[in-house]
Amino acid sequence: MLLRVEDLAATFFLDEGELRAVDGVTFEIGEGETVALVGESGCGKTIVALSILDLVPSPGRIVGGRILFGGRDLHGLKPEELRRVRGGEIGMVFQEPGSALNPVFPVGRQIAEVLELHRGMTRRDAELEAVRALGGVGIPDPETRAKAYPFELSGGMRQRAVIAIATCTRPKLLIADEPTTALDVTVQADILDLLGDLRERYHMATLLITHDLGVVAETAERTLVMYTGKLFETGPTDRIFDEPLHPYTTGLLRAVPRLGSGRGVPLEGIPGAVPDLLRLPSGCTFHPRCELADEGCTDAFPPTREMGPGRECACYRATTT
Amino acid sequence: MSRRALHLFGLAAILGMVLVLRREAFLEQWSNPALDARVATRFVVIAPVLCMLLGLRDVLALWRPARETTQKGGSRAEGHEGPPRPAGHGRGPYRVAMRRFAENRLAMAGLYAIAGLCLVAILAPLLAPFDPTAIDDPVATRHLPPSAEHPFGTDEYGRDWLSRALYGARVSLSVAILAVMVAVTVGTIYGAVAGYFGGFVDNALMRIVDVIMAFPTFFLMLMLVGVFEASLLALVLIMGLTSWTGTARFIRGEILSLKERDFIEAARAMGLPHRIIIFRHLIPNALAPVLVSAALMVGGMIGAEAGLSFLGIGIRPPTPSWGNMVSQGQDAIFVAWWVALFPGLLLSITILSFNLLADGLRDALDPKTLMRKYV
Amino acid sequence: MIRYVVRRLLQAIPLLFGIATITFFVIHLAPGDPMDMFLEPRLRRQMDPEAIELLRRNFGLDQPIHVQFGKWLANLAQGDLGVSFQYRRPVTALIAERVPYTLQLAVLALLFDALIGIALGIYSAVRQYSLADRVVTIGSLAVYSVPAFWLAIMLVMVFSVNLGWFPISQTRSLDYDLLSTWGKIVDRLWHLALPVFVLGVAQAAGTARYMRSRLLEVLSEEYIIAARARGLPEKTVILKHALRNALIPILTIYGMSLPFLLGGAVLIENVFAWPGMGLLATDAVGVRDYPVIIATTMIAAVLVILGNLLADITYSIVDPRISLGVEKPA
Repeated sequence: MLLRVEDLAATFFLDEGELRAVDGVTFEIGEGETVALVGESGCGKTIVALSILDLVPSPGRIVGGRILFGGRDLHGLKPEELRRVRGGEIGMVFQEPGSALNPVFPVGRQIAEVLELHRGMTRRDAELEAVRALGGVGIPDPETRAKAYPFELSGGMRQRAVIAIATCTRPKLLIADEPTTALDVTVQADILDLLGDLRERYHMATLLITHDLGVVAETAERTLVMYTGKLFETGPTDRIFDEPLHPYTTGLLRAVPRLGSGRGVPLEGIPGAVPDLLRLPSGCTFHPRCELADEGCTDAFPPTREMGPGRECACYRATTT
Repeated sequence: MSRRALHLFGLAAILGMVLVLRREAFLEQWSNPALDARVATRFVVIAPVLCMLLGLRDVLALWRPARETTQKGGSRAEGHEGPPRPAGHGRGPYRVAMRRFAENRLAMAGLYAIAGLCLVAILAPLLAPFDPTAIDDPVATRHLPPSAEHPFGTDEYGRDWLSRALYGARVSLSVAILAVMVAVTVGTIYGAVAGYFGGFVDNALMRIVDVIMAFPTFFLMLMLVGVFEASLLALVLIMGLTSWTGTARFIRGEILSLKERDFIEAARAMGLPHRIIIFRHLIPNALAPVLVSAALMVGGMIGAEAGLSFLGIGIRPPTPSWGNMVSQGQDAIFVAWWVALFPGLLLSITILSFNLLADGLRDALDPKTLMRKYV
Repeated sequence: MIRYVVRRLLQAIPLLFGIATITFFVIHLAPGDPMDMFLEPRLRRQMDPEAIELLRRNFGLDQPIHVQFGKWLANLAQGDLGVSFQYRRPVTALIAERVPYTLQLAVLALLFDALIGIALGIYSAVRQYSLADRVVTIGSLAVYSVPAFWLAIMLVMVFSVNLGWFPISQTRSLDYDLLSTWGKIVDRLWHLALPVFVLGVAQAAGTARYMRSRLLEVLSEEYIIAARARGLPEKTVILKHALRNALIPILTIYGMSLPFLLGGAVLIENVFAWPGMGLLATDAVGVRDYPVIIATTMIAAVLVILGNLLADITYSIVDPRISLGVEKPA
């Protein structure tokens, strides 16, 4: 097992109260495996990603759980050791390629910096390797682009540059946080293809965070469904798509437009909105929006139950056929 | 004393001081006989009173629309998976701002100090142990060091330095506050007009601001005070009319963003005259930044008046001002340290108090600090 | 890059024109006869009215205002700012003598400001909410609030009058001419120490506060989290990635603080009898030497514009976005 996240909890300590952005999340990622973390915006997916690298921004803090990476407890490491993991063994791709690149340094320099640090290259070698890395992520004319500042590149090019930075050290795990959300639709597919490509080339495991189930179906072997800081359902992607167990998953799937569903068939969504994390509903946090909910759902949060091979679900009403 | 009572107390103290000033300074030193002194002084008193009473209430009552922008501006936060939430647990924005301010100990300390200083200034005739201008026996009382009888010592003419400092507070505080009012009024209207009309008008008006801003304000004051014969009123006007450019720029920016909002579009669609839209709809909605910029300016204005008086061209002796008192102290550095020390200390404390207050106000009212970035 | 510099230079021209215009109107809006601005009052009382009329025509004061304005601008372009009543010398020459002294103070104060202010700002931002941070934030606000001229007097009282460590005023010792070259430099610096410190310390306090908030803002940007996620050491993240971004706007702040610096110099020059432009201006106000009063103010404004120009050009060198026509970051 490459990565094991055990009972992870991260809380933001705000003036208005404690906001539990991540609350008891457990999952695993194997070598070379692609796992998708899905859910609506504002349910803590990004914080899970940042928690793995111990980068939860203040006033937030990791308050519980363990992150085991290659058998080591990441948060028990010395700062220098943790730094070697960050960027060296775990790469991260961000949602906004525009704000993930430092605006005042050329992109080539930003790649070279990482290479100098993690691969001990000389400045000159690192610059050359940076050009090669830019070419490797499909940026045309990489010699020129390496000298360009982020603002001189298009959104798609920037995201390619960010991916080049994250993968130039051949990490074992790539965390991609909504890598296509901020991009033009036409570019999204290219970026996903590139990620798939790199995954095979370097045999990287990937944690793909997204709210786009279409993307999940195409790429991920396993899927984790998250809502209000908790995992609602986990399992192999094809099983989840064929037979969702949690009513929330069912709702998410219903909201995806499908080929062949025909025109004129209205898309259904989930009624209501994601609740305020500071004022979560009692019991199952999904019950106000759930069509199956009854009085039993309002008392306590449902325990996670095993439901068939490799599948888990946290719902009182879930049943397998 | 509850915190709200203290707010009212501080406000009342400032108002009271303005009232006192009318009698003490303006009526006597009114220089332009062409103006009916009574009408003018009435304006001097009523305008700030109305300004502060209505303004403060409106600032806080009208805070709501400005907060809506905050939420919109907070869309960045959604990228980091945070649901937009009504800030402050559904309490009125006025209360939120007030609570934030009251929790800021430094700002409250500044408010206490200012309230105290204002009270001292108003009650100067009661508190002052001696006549601030009387020179009784200059030989016997000349340069007496601080003692129980003269806590701040005496100056070269044997005048009680504490009494002069108390009366000096009146002049220093009121000149600065009135000059700020002039500056903020001019700057707000100018900035609102530029921002509202936009285009060519905006361009022309802002180029003028650029030119005026190039002049170091203190040099400009120096030049104008030097060229025009400076009475107290002229001093206030010169100080005010050279310091409005920052406010104008600031308010223009606010108005530019307000202008795009629906209720202004609606007002325009209804065909309301520009005057009404600017004064009834735009400026009241931008009052919070006006208040902050005014508070930020007071400290600097006290310093500027002190500087001018120090150079002997602001408030001139025998009228005491902290600035001209420090100037007198400079001449006595070899013989009497207390003459320069005390008025400067009071100046520093006063300016610091206003700066603390302004900082606190800005933090309490600034929507940016309410924004949460990552959750 | 060069195109940007040229464009900024061209943009400064209307500003200079505006400064000249405002100055001209101050002269003509001043109460009394505009002749007061050109002719010494004492001299004027002794002259007979006909001679004054003649002079009036000579100065062109009988002509329509736009003609006068044109002539005034033409004189200005030739560097003719009139003749000082007090010194009976061309104002241009007087100011040329004084400007270097003011610039000496201002430039050294800016240097002091940059070194101390930026360092304190970084220190305090990196240790946010620590005791040291609170001392720096509150202390800088306190220092910022102390009127510089009073601080100057207090320092003179302690360090010059009582301890005798520094000279009380003036730019050099009486025996300056007898000193060796090295001794001359030391003597100059010894006289500069207090004025530069007083002028720079308030600026440094402002810079420290600005630097702190700016750096904290930058540190919460996503590219900083991204830099950390790449495993960069905290030192690199702060001193390279964050600082570079935080320092850029500081340059603009320096440009904007120039008017305050020059204004502050007026008072400091008075305290230390430092023969700069500020002292020239205040002396002129005291004796109603109008040509000098007006010219010093105008020159101060021109210095501000030149300073801003310099700041903007430096800005465009440091921030690649500017010279390429991308908007300045907020």
